[in-house]
Amino acid sequence: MTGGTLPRVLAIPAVVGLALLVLPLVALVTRVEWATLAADITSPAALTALGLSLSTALVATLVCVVLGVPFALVIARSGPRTSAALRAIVTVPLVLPPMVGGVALLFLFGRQGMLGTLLEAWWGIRIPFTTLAVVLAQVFVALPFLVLALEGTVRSRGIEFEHTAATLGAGRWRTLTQVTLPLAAPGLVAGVVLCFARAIGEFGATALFAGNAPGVTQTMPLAIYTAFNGAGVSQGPAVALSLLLLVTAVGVLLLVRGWRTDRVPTAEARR
Amino acid sequence: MSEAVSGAAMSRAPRPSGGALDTHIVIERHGFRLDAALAVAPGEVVALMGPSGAGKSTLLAAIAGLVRMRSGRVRIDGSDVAGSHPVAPHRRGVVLLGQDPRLFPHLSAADNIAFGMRAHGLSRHAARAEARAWLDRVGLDGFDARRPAELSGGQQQRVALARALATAPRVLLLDEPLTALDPETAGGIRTLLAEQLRAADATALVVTHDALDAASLASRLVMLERGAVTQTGTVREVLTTPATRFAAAVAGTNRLVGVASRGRWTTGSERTPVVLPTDDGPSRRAAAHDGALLAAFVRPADVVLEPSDAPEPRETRPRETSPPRTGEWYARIVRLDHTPGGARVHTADPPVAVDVSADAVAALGLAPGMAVRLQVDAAKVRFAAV
Repeated sequence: MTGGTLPRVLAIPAVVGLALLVLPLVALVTRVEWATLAADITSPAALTALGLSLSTALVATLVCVVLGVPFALVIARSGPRTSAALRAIVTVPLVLPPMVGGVALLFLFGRQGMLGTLLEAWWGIRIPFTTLAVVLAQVFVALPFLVLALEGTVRSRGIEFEHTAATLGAGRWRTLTQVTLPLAAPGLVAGVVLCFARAIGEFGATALFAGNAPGVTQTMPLAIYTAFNGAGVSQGPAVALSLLLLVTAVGVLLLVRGWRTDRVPTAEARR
Repeated sequence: MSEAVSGAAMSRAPRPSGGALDTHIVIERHGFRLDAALAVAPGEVVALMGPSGAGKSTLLAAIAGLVRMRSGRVRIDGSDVAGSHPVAPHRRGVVLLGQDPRLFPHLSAADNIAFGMRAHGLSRHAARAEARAWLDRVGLDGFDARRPAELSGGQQQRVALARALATAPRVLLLDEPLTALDPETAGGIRTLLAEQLRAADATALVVTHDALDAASLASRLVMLERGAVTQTGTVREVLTTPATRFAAAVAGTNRLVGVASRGRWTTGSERTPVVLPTDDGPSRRAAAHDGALLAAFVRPADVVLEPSDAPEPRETRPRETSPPRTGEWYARIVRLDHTPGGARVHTADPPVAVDVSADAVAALGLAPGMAVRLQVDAAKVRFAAV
């Protein structure tokens, strides 16, 4: 521990908190059946679920970036009342149980849903229980993370640098791409990481809105749930899949972190 | 049109001169009203001074197009850029450099300077070369790759100045560019600023709170107080005959309002008048009309202070001491302020500041409440009509 002025007693709750986060994962790893691990992980069902999870989470993150970055910028540059209202709306899916989100999506896109009836009547498109539904469910739960992270950064940066860019002759697009977004890079990176992590772990809304069809809508969390519930005798495959998801998530996190540290000026370095 | 102007502006020396600025700005918000008109000729540098909250920064922001005006005009080279269809800030050719250099933290020094030129359509290569030349011009040769965080405050302001001038603005607005710097650094940048403004033949409006900045950078001085222009003139005119108490404080002189009487300045009661004479021709003419309000100017250093032998100057003087001659009066010390060489003694009725050396303070035992005799030479006094 390095010095500082914190009361030493704070170390106790901090350590408890850390233990609460780490010990369950340790427990998980202790239950891994190493003998069958390779077989469990490389089983076609596992690989299909992993592939589906990665691809849907990636697409969902992409959709979140395309929609969420402009959304965050608009909120950050709106008047105080508008932005407060928009922020509150964005926060709702965050505090909503994902199951409820799944039900809500079903009511909108389902056969009897507001949009669902139209989509089916006009184009014969049915969304629920398709891979598209998986992506939609992930976007619904993950978008707030990206929007809130980016919006906070853009707003706290202020508009002074943008004014400077404007008086130097930079138009709106040049200012956005060369000043606003680079300055908000830490928030964007954090937002993308959180967004992806939330998408790949999504279970509740997916289960209700997309179902649990192997190869179509059965992502890793659903596969793990199925393995736990169905196997009965042996939980080996479920534990193996959990480990795989854990390693994948940590891998993605490290990848983004590594890219991030050398690009972004820190707050202290500025002054 | 702006592209053509910028394109030509980007070519190397001889650089084109700045544009003409003619503006009248009316802004009302939060109960504050700014209503000020001023003009800057091509290649001219005008200083803008005023107390805090006078509206100086708002005025600059309005010229740059960063705040909305209620009414008025911002004419640059004859065309109004703030009319019914305001021209966007990035198309005005107006660059604003503030107290904070506001270098883009994610770009190197060279890329910061190149930013504006790139925005004006210069190629990456050409902008880079020009940026290096500018770094050299502001005394930062070889600093191309440095990030703003790796530069000192003074170096950052040099880069910001280069970045502003590199776009060859029609109008350059400087908002207290030296305020955040320590005196030594500020001195170096003041010199650089004066050189570069002259070399670029730039049209510039400089907000400052320092009369030295105004004197060394600008040819004319505009005083802005509570949203209105209170005085305009050459820097010398304004500093020698300031029109308001604030202007007098800036100029470092006493401004005393009294009444003209037979070519002299008078104030005070019938029994204890204070009368100031002058040797200055124009000043005597200003005092020609008896009874007219008249301002007298005396520098604190030009007032001579002597201890008074009268404990109660106003009441006892006629009996115990010789009656005061013209240019001489009795007063009481109100306050002593430290100055680099000694003290500034503030006296009341009329409120006159007197500079004295530290050893004089000690020798005379000056302290608030003490009675003193003040005297000024007619050669040191100027008058101006109020």
